[in-house]
Amino acid sequence: MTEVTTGHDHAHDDGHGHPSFFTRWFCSTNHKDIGIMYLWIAGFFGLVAIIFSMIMRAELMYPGVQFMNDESGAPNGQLWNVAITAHGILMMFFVLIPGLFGGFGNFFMPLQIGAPDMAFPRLNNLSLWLFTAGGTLAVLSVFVGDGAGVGWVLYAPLSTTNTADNMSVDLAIFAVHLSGASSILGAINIMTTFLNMRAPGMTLFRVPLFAWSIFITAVLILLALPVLAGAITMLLTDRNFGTSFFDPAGGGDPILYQHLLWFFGHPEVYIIILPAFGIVSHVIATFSNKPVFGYLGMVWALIGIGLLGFVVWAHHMYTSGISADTQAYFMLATMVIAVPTGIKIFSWIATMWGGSIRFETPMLFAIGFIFLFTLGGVTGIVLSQAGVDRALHDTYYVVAHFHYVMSIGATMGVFAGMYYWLGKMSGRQYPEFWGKVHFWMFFVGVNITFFPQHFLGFAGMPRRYMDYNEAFAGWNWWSSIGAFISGISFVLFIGIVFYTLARGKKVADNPWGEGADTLEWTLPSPPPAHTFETLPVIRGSNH
Amino acid sequence: MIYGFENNAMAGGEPPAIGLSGENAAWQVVLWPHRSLSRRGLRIFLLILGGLFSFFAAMTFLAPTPSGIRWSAHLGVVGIVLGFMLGAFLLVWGLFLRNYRDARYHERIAIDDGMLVIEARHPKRPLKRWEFRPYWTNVRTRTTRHVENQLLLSSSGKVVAIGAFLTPDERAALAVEIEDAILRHATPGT
Repeated sequence: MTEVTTGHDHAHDDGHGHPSFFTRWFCSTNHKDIGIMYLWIAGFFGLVAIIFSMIMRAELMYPGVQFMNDESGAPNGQLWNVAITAHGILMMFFVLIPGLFGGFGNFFMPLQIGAPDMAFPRLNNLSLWLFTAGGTLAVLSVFVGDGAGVGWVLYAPLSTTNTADNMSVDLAIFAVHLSGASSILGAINIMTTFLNMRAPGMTLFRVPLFAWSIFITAVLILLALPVLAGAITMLLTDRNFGTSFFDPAGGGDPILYQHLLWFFGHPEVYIIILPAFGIVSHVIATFSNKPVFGYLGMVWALIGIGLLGFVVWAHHMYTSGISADTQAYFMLATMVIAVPTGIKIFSWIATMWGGSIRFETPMLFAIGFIFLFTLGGVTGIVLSQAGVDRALHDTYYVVAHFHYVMSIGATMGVFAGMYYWLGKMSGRQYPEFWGKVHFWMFFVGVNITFFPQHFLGFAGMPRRYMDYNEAFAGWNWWSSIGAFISGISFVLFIGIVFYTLARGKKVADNPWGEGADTLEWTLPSPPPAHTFETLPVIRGSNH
Repeated sequence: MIYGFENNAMAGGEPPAIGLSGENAAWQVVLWPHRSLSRRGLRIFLLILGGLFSFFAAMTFLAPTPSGIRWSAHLGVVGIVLGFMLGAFLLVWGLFLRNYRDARYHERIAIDDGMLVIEARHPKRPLKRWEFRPYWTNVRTRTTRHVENQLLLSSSGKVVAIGAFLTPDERAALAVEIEDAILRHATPGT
């Protein structure tokens, strides 16, 4: 018998032979398996966060307090605060970033640049489990003590008071810390892989747009997360060790916390949305059967959005007492972001222009993304005006704006990516009809939910309250109905995923035709455990 | 140049910074994994990253400095946040260097003292070494579902796959080069 001895040792030996279920999925160092684990775990936390939003919309459906009462029947605002905090922390840190950046980024970025795996496979596994541990702490923070009812922004002084009997806020802070550590390690892994592991011939400006978007996201994470880590470390010491970084009585300043938080918080918005930009670029090019319009402009727009995202943070703080000059600067800088964003929107439209468009489910979600993102972007320009923001600050107009532009926009990107790549990841194709039903339920549902909130905001309904004046009742009822429709659509999506995995039709290497021209479509569906052990050579343009 | 086959040629990017044994061999070729970022590229990237860190740090702490804060508290805030930033920057630097070190894995194929020597050297693992008699060594490439032009050297029932990290074209060219070297240096019947 002849044995083949490979001269080349792998840094990691998984995937040879048949590892057990536990070894393959829980101890994996394989970028594809870790990507899939990210998607499952983010999906689970997403379900929890959606349940919180359904509870909140049920409460808000009618004026008065129906569900969030304590044992004596009196309204209990802490329950409401805990629900909005858990919804925010989970969605921001444990659903959208891990889904888009951790899930799709891990699975597809190395494939698209022709790398055999991530640069540091074991570090990748560490990132996955730090994220999972952090998400678990975030869920636990709901149930320990009175629950963390301080908002996902963890503003001081609310988060630094009440220290004696409420460990749940500490748990929430630790949750964000673990998420930050996971994201920073993941980001460095992505950056090293992107820069140093590209296949021969895959020059920087031949890299597909999704891989670029993941790389820029990684740089943003690396620049922004250390600031958040510092800020919440100081919250911990203020809470537990008697420091007074954010306590005026001890010489500190709570506004400084807001500066630090939003210096991280605004880039966070782009950290969430940039990978969705990348996915949408590929989906639109694929289903228009045309290369993406203005590739170089798209790359530089990504870089521009990333950089500008760091110099606009105080537009979240117009009402905190910053000077008029400072407000004027932040207004101007914020509006400038519309330029690179506009380049992307118009490039997507130009890609579709004259193309042979097929309206399959991923394309519907991509077009839905453009609609929602543009609408949310336009309300962002309204809110960027410091004068207008005086009236709209902390109203439902802001809630509508950021859900359109970031939350639902990014979720549309997640679903576009899921339907686009589900066949590649699983080897089985989703049922097209039910995919379209999912899209229409979700699209109609979220618009009924969030569009009326613009009206509520203009009418002056403040956010972060569980009760409201009866004058706001009508649009709140509609908003809740929309939320329930989109909630049911998520249940349908879960059904579609399980149906596809169990009974979906086997899918070819490239089910989308010649429009899908990135490297992952040259591989079998699902790709083997080890890909590009033999490096592909890239000739000519790949986009 | 990604690949070159001259006497004592090296292939696959920048040379590994470790000593090579048997440099007096009659013929040899050294292979190592491809890295797409040159050391100069890394320096530029770290400069950009450090510049961004510095600019944003200055912007956060100088532009909207809160007026009422005591200087000692502000110094503490600046120190803690800068510490985290510096830590992240050093982590990037260290991990890039680690990634380059991983690429110091290399394979050496040589005809030395009448024998075809194959060595696989990893910076942190024991040396793997095979010695074949050149005249009885078979050089071939095969294409499987997963690998195009896998390059196999076989003799006396042993088969060694080399250059797994090269491109298929490079492996095909390398196969020709090794065969040629064997023809030139092997003594028939030994």
